Amino acid sequence: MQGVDRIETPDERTVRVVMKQPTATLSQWLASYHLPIISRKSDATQPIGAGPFVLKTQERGVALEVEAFPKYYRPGLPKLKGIRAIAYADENLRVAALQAGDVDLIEYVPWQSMETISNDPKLRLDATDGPFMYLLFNGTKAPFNDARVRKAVAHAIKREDIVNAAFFGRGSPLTHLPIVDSSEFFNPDLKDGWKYDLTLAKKLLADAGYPEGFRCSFLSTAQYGMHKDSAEVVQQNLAAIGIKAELNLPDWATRVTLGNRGQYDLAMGGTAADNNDPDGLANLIDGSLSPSYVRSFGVRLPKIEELLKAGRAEFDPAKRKTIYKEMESLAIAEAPVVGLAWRSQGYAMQRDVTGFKNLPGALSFNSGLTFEETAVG
Amino acid sequence: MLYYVVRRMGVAVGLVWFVATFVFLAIHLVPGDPAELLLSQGGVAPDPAAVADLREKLGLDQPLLQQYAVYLTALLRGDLGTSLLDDHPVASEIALRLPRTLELIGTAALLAVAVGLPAGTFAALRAGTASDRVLSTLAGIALSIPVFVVGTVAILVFAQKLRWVPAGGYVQFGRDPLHHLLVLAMPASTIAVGLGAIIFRMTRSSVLEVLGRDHVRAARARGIAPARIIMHHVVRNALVPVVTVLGLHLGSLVGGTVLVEYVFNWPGLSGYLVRAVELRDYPEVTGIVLVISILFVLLNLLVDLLYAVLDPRVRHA
Repeated sequence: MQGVDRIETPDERTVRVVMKQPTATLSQWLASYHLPIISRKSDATQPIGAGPFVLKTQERGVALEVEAFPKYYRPGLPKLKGIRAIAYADENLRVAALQAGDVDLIEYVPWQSMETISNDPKLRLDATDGPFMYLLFNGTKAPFNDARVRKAVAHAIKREDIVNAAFFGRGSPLTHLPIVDSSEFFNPDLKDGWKYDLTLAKKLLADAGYPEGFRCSFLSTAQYGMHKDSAEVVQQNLAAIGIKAELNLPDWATRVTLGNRGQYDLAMGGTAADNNDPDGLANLIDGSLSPSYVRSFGVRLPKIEELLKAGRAEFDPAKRKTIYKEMESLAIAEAPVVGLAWRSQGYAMQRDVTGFKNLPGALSFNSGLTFEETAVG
Repeated sequence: MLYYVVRRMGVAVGLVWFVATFVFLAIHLVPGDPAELLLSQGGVAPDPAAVADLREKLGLDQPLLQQYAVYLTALLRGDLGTSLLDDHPVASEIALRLPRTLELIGTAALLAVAVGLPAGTFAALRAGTASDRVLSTLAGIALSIPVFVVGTVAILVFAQKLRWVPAGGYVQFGRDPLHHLLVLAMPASTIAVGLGAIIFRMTRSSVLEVLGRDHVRAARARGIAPARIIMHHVVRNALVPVVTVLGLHLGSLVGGTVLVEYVFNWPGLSGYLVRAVELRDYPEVTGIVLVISILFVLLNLLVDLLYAVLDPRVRHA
């Protein structure tokens, strides 16, 4: 929100947010969980918003309880009297709690359990491709300062293996920029931009002056299985074109620090965009932004930076589409990051839970918004 | 005796200071910046200016020696500081969670003693027979299965298949006493499996050793009833090493129940510590480790003093 210039309230029922620069995505940001509209009478323990529930009790690190707000502005809603949200750190216990009937709904269904849950007549799985895995590069030194080497890596990965090994088949290969196919900004003719092509990968590597490959460091983390498993598949695939990647698997906190400082050649990333607008990609590929563990380190592509800026300032949907298409085709050629796999993001619930819906793509994490329509039994 | 107690207390205080310093240095030297991590939740790439601001606000921009001085001064006042995440006082969170861990360990110890002690005595009295061999083999198996396997299998069988108990979690005693005991049963039993096996083995060998002593033979010669010999002359004497072993194991369990707490979602101290390390929440990490080490040192002190009471030779050593 540092882009906000000033906020005006010309009358009782109008708020005008004036940005320093034209920002087409402002409405998306205002709909985000991270930007709730609350009363000035709120305090840290009791935020006053306009939602369907009010906070009842809070046990730090254990559970959170909300109850229906009787004067909610939509009559008849929410359907639930209240919700008790319990923190289960262990994914397997989360599934066990659902199967044992302790809870009605769970988030973050572990991929290895999706099959069992789908086959259980008492349960229902609602999954969507949302978050994704991708590769990042250190562009401040050889060899990954050369776009041909980055592109060679992009064409050397067998993405089905990642989907199978890390996500038990629950996901899909990602051979372009992470724009979901249900988005109006999805470009069908670019969708195979980074498809697996060993000959092309070897040729690109030879063109860049590495016909025999090279050694490099590869940063991931052992704290999250998906990061480790994906990295191991990539390591094997790279070996096939002569790139010997040496894995570094510290805990997540160390991974973040090393990433922010650019202490790696190649790194594994995993994230979800904040919303389904392609401007969210700037977070991953805009090299003019500050160094971050979610972006490649020091990969500057001025044309892409310009297009991202233009897309943000453009309000005409058709023109935005053209801008982002050009941006994606450039990104596929220059590979500032390399897409690997979509991962399925699932919610699972008892059969008698109705009204809850997993929102598509990046919005999956905001599915709690559908709690106002949710009912049990 | 007084000199002995004072000397032991002095060593205990020194130990606690050493642990406090060591933990402080260790957690600060491990890579990973709490300010960066706090602002990076959910894959966000934070603005470097915001990170710098937060570092300043949390005092993380100060030289390490100065941070250490601040930490130690606060510690002398009994102040463990507040969480970097939400400013929640570390001491009150420990006060909330420590009793839960102690309850878990205490229940496990009761179960372990209730099973291990009679079984160990029984096995010793029938040493070499088939029943002794069966019990010893069972104890060997119980000792070698990791707690997370016992826990996971218990959840699968009792919660998912039979649906006798909930699959972990926690409910305050005041909210629902029966439910509280129900969710306590599985994690406590899981810890008790290994602990019971240790007590069984210790009791068995200790009872065997005492059985061979002269005073037992003399008691037999005097024609005292066998049951009385076992209760008064054997088990009582055999208890000393068993209590020592139990005491030491309980001490290490205070910080070592992390796997059980994790598997059963029991919101105790160990799980809190792991989360604090992951987030590099320095005050939380140092506070929890300090409390655990104080408990450990106190427990050892108690054992040492107990020795001194039992054996006058120790006092002058």
